[in-house]
Amino acid sequence: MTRSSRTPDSGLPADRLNFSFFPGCSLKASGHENTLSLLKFCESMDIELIELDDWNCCGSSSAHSIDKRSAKYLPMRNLSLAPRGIPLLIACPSCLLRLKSSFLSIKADPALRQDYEAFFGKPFDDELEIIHFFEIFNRVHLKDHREDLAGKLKGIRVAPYYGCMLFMPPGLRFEKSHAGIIEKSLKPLGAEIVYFGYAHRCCGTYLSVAKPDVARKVVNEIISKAMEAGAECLVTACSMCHLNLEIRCTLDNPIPVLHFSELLSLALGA
Amino acid sequence: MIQLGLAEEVLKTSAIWVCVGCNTCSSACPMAIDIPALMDGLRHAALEKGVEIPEPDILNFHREVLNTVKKYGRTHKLEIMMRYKLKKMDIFSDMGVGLKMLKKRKLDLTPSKVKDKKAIDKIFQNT
Repeated sequence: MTRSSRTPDSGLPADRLNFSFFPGCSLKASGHENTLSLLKFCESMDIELIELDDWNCCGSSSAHSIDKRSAKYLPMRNLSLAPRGIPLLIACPSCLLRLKSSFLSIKADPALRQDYEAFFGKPFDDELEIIHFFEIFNRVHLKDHREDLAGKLKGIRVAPYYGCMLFMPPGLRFEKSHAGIIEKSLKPLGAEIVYFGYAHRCCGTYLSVAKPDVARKVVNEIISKAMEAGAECLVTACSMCHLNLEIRCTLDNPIPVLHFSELLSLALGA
Repeated sequence: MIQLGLAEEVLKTSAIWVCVGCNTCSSACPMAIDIPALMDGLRHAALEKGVEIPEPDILNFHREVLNTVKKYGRTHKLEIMMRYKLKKMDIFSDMGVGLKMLKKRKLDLTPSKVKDKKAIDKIFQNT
């Protein structure tokens, strides 16, 4: 079985970490606080992010739903732009899924590889490593990196909310899972993790537009369950989830919803 | 249902449009069946066969999303929402949510664009 990410060496890498960075439309245009906090976080951790030059939309949910051609070539073009030799870092779970699926399909299918190479006029890079932002936390241990961080989030009761990001289609079932990474990263900083049973409930994603009632119902359910469990804030892994949780919630006094990168940046004082 | 010869009925269901592909089902499936991919296939078949789509709003939404990707190479939420609402002849519902998004800076006024427009045109050349 082919994999798109390698197992990292344990401990701190000798060199400075650098990645090419695919923001995706949500982070670029509606998740400003997500992007900004992510950049600030990486800056203060001395991690270099270089934005993928002239990247395009991954096709999102709409391309694969109604248009096969763009669903195939939109993610492929991004792969063709990725510089060789450095990992491609993606912070949106949905973009990650599209690009990784595309990468693994090309790797496994010679006809598709030919198609790719003819369309973009360059050889396919078998070695490209595509990783989620969370993978950073497998490579760098926050507390080792910045000793002053311990206890920075002391006493905050956080409900981690992953949405659907940990669920993978069968084609990606041997890919690395990031289950528990929010918990693992925030606990050493003193945060108290609240388990509320709705951490993996889908946020309703784009049905927020065509079926707002459906989105409202699931969003209210997720937030109220986190509140019942005693959480003081929800931490999200995806800016689509964040958007829905913020705009579709109709509860009276909902707890704040923060991007994971926002909470980390606050802890770092970035 | 398809195995029972009810393919046409399947293509006319709301379910194939309401599925957002969150993969909760396929992750739990012991037979590793890619159910969201199956839904994609059924949506394509429904469009090809020209059956009546029971969820026109969801289809419109997808079309407007792709419309902005075709134009700019990236999605542009404000334009998607405006055109979607115009088509539905329903401009004012959800206005509060739109304003909330603007206030939270979650709705950019101008689109972010790809420079190499030709590359995007090539991808969308048949549509």
